[in-house]
Amino acid sequence: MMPACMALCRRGLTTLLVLLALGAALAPAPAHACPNCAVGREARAEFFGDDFLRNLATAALPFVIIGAVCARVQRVRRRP
Amino acid sequence: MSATHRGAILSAGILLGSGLGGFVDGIALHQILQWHNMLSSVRPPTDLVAMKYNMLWDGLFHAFTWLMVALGVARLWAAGQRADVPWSTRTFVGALIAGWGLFNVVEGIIDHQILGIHHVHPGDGQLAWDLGFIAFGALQLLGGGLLIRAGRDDATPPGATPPSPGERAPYAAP
Repeated sequence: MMPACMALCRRGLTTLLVLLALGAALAPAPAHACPNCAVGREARAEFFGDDFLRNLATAALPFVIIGAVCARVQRVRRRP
Repeated sequence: MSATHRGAILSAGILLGSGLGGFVDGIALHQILQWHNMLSSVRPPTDLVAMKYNMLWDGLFHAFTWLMVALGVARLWAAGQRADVPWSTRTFVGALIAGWGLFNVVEGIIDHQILGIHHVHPGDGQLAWDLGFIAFGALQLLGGGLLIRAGRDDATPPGATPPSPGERAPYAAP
């Protein structure tokens, strides 16, 4: 009897959570992303503009250096 | 006695530490506190287009940090397959801390000081914030280094059979 009640409660809770998630998804959102609005297009055009490769190199540089350090450290061995 | 391949676990820890440290920077300083963005000194986020432009570069920064974590996990997995890698908590945690510190020092010197693409906390006392960031990273490097040094004699976990050179761990895939 007890396991059956617990299973029913669990199923009820799952149903409730699914309904709440559906309600939240269908409710009018106070804000939304705009992947294709004018602002988004302008930002993307700037992102891929003349400075793209320079900025990409700038953003990647610290990670390239850390990668090089790791490649060097990878060879560390200790002979007792 | 065999040589122990500490480099495998050190490089895994440094990659993971630098990637996770990068995530701390991106999540805490870029997004939650909103002190700076990736290119906020080049293109200050004063309007929506500039904000979205910086968000794109922040996304790329997070992609790089994700890549470091993924590479670190791959290195750690490979290290776990080898019997000559000392499975030392002190070495691994030290490498994690040193990796985070390395990220802060390298990023602080290159992005904040040399290229000036953003600063930790722009405005009054900007230089002090930048130098503090580098000093914090240097302390992490020092602490991580000390922990790695403390674990230099750590071998396989207690109870495990010491491996012979080139031997694979018993749980390694054939």
